[in-house]
Amino acid sequence: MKRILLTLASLVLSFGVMAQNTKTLPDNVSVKTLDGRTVHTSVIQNEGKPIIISFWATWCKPCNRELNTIKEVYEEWQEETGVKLVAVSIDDSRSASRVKPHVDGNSWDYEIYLDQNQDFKRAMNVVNVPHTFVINGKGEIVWEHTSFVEGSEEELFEIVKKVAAGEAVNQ
Amino acid sequence: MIKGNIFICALASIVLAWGCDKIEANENGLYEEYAGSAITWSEGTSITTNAGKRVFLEKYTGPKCPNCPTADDSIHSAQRQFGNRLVVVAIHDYSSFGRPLGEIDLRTEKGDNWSSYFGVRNAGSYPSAIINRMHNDNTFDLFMPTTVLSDKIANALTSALSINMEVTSTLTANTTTIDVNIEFIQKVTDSLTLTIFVMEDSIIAPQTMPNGSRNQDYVHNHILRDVVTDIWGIPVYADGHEGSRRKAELKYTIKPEWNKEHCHIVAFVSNAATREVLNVAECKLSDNSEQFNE
Amino acid sequence: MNARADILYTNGPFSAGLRFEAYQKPMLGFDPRYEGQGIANYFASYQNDKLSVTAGNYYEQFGNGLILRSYEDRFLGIDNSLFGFSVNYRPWDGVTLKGIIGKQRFYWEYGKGFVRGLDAEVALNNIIKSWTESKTRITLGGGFVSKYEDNDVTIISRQNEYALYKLALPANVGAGSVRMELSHGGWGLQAEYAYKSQDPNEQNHYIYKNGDALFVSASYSQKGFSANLQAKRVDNMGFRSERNPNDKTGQMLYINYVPSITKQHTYAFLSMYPYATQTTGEMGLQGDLMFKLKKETLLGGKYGTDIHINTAVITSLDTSTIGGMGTDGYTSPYFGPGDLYYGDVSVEIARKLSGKSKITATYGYVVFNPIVEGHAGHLHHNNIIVCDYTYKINKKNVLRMEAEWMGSDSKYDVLVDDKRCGDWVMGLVEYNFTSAFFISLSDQYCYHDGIGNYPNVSIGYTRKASRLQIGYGKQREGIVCIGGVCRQVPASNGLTFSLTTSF
Repeated sequence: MKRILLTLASLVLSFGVMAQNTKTLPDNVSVKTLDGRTVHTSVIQNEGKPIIISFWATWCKPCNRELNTIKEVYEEWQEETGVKLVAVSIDDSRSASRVKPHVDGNSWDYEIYLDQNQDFKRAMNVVNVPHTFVINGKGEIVWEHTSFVEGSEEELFEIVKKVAAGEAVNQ
Repeated sequence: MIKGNIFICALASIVLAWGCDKIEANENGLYEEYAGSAITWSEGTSITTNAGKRVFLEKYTGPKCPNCPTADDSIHSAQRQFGNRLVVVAIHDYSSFGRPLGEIDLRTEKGDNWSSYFGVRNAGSYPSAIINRMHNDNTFDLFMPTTVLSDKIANALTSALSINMEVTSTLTANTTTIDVNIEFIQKVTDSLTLTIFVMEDSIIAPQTMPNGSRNQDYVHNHILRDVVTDIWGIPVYADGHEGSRRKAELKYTIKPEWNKEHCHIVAFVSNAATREVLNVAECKLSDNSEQFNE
Repeated sequence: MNARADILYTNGPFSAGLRFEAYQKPMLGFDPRYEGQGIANYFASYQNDKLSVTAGNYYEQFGNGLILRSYEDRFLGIDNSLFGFSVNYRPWDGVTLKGIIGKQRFYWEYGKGFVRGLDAEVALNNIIKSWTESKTRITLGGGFVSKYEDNDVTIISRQNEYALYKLALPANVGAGSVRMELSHGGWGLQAEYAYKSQDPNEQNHYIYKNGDALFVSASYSQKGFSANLQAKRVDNMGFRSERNPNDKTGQMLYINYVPSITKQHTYAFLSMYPYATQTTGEMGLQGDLMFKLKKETLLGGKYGTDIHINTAVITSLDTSTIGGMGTDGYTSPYFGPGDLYYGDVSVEIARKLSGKSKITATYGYVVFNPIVEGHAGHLHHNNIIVCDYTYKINKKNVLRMEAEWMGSDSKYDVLVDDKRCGDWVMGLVEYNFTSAFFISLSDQYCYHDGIGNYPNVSIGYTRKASRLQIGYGKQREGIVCIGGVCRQVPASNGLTFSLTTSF
């Protein structure tokens, strides 16, 4: 039995290391807006208030669940913390033209960017989607998490509240 | 702003200038060039001493194949039994069995293409052999060359002789002139192709033995080194009527790392559509031993 | 075993990185030529807000990728990074100019061809002052890519008794494209047209026909409603950096990327017959409609219902052969469809049943021509029903169940692999404890002949950016969404262990 397990074993290991003083949001990666302009990620700003960046794709069900679940509480979150959610789609040219209809069809109010060739995804070392980051007022990445199940949005909001209050986040 | 525009236009025109080549078609609508005459076909000669039916046995094998040495033993017996009526070639392909255990790599891409085509590489077992590339309904008649081998060879030898074949090789330095003679004993209307390849004997390289151990000094024989013609052969220019004779002559340069003394040239004629081999002939790379010292 | 480590170092405008990959016996679905280990990718780059220069391995896409897309998808084993130099220049806001030159990665070597290209994109609303606040937004772009490969190569096209003829090969093959993107409020229109010069190669059997491709997408959307229509036509647009004699390169060395316009399904049976673009020639249409039935209405239910309808049909081109190798190949009328390659219709209805539960029910009908996978046969017609139910037990515990059924007439076809055994049924149960831990059990069973049983059990643990997943059982290739993430996976059989982390 053990021999069978060993011969059939397949292994995937993946490590990503980003070396900097503190991890900050890269500001020179090109992404596209929904109206076709190419901009640098430096446009992702929120006047010193927290930012949530969520990498998603139209074909990713947990991503859609995450963004739909947050949609229901987004207004409250914004009132309480001033947070902005930036949703970056990693759809490639097979489905990129359907991102805007998908966003409208789901009635999402987020700031949307298209990362068609996954340059931003690579720069942030994202492997699986959904992958969500929380950025503080200084542009530093203070928290990140991959995967979503119903209920995870509450944990996310706790982090956002801490960041809005200027507290340190313990990862 | 204007400077920037000029710069961009200049760059763009440079790229577009060497951007793409347009080839013009010739008067027949073909995009081709004359490439010389590689094969000369002419009237052949009558074949006497080397006449008769011979059988072509292809064995797909490899250094990591533990059952292959047993097959080699059976093939040796068959060679003693059938003499020069049997022509054997061993092919190492890109399967996991074909991976070399030492430095000497006996695999060829052309052999690997044959292996995939006959169904060995992706679905077959090793060793697999096929005689005269015969079919069995829709699949090629692959078998394990051990106990059934001599029966199958004897059987193949009894089938009708349609052509006689003879091949000679004259070596000068590293280039050989190969002459293949084909004599039609019966009328043949099918399209035929002629395939010529080089094989080498007595190559010492590691081999996995049936008990799992590794024999570092195994003697590999009749290993396919290269196919001289296209892998599916060159068309035979003949009208195929009974009694007609054709000769094909071409040149080939052997690779310096092969041992000339141990090399053989093999030529076989096969049916262009079914691939079945009609007859095969073999000769040493050179009968003149002085050639081997150059 | 596949392992990979990415290291990225940033210091102000400078950054450098490298990637180490090791494949000790590459996993199922990965080409055996990956075997080995080493630094697969390294680069250094300087970036400020106007200029970005990279030396080393880089990825780039022009427009939709019809003439250039160098990208990587680690789960599919695709990596055609370019190794050379890349410059991105933004002289003014809204204008992007790109220039690239390099060789493509080919497992542990580089392809023989040299690729170079230029691309320009202009967002008219930024350039034309009076348009800055306009509701209509237009972006135009165009690019040109050319590949150089030594043409002192003999490929015999024809021979007769006296002479051999070889192909007169072009050393430089070029492809250009123009594209535009227009949006006006809820309306959107995107189009791209690409053209390729004579490119005789192994895949198109060395014909000298030019290649071209057209992509058009039109959409209208507003809150709660969207409609999208896509059309495409592709003719001889496989653009590789090598002519690929002996058909060695498989999926590698593609310079461009021709997207398929079928929906990327994520449910197992809907994606069992995935369609892959035939770059040699195809045409197709896709329509997509999303709308909501309002809450507290008769049809909408208490919380509202989301409906998503999608349909696609792809056919071959209607070709008339002129000749084979060394000729122009074939002609085909621009608007004439050929044989059906693929068609599907899917209707997805999602509804929240209560504060704790949600259900998504999908019906799909798929028609598939096996010629797409390389073997001739009858068209397969498949009916698929999927039911996906999520129940939130409490704040920390969530249960998800999925049931699928597929009735297929492929069972009447010659048995090629266990996919053709016909009717399937599947069940999946997934338990999640917050988003940290999950366990899932699933089984796909073919009940026509009893051949084809794919049981699978997976457990996973996620913490911050790290994720550990262990699975045991058989798994088909495709997009798999369990444990809260979606990933593209290769086929596997046995124990699968996956650990990803970044720090």
